[in-house]
Amino acid sequence: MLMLTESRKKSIGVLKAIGATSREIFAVYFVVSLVYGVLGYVAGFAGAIAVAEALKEVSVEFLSEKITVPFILDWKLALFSLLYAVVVSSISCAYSAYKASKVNPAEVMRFE
Amino acid sequence: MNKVVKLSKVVKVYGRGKLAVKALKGVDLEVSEGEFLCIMGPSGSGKTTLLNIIAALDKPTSGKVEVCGADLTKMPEEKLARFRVKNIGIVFQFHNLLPDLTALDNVALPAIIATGDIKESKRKALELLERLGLKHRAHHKPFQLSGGERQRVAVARAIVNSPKLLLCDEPTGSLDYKSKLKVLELLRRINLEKRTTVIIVTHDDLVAKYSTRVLRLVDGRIVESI
Repeated sequence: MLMLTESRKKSIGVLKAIGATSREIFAVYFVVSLVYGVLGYVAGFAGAIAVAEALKEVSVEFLSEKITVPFILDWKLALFSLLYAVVVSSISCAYSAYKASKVNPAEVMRFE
Repeated sequence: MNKVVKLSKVVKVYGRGKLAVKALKGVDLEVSEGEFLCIMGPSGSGKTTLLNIIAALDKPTSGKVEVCGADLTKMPEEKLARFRVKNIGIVFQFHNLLPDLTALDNVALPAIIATGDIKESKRKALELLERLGLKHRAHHKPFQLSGGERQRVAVARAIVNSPKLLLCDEPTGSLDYKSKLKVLELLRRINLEKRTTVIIVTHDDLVAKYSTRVLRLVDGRIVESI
């Protein structure tokens, strides 16, 4: 998100120059970052389930002994990781949104 | 006549100590309603700084800035943004249209910010593009437009909220002669039809021919009034 904010500095400057407030810029960037964070979680979770369904379990031979590790979907753990992802995303998104809201339009639009 | 812009003893210093650069050295300026003012000067003379201060995009180090009767130096940032969207339109040298939006959406954006009404803002934007002869380009993105068209879309975006003051920073700087004429004629038309006060900073002599008054800015001071 920080990279996105950096690459969009000029657009943010334009939005501020045409009347958007810092609070509005913060809100837009915060929500967008959070949506990205949650979408990332959902995609990762879906991918994990697909892999688990395909493999069922993983077996390895170690010192001539066969060790089998089954894939078990723990919904409580999944929910906890979703909450964790939301909290961590919120903190990092708040920072990048804050950086976006502090863009100085006079500075970023001086040069092409 | 109503004064749309009133600057008194405006000083702008960038940096501190030995590295401090004085961009404006006590500028006094009054601009009346309906004027088409051209501020000329060489690069680094403080033209853009002056325009940014009138646009409330930058704060002066000292001095007073009044626009449309409001003291901008005392206004908090959130209020300034709202004040700007209703009273001031800005045209930049490099159009600065948002690349992901169509011409129509770019023009509608300030109206959406001001009113929150997307449908009405788009209707207004389309009507404006039609008046400027750009309706056929409404759904094109900036990269699909010519330089002149982009700058005319930028002018449309600046006037969609019918501002009292239109500020232009080198609006013809990146254009060929034909496009320059089109943009300048458009600005003059807006000035005459709506009595919108227009301030252009430039070093293009052609702009002066369209203006009702020309000022010269040299080394942070207004030195001459033509």
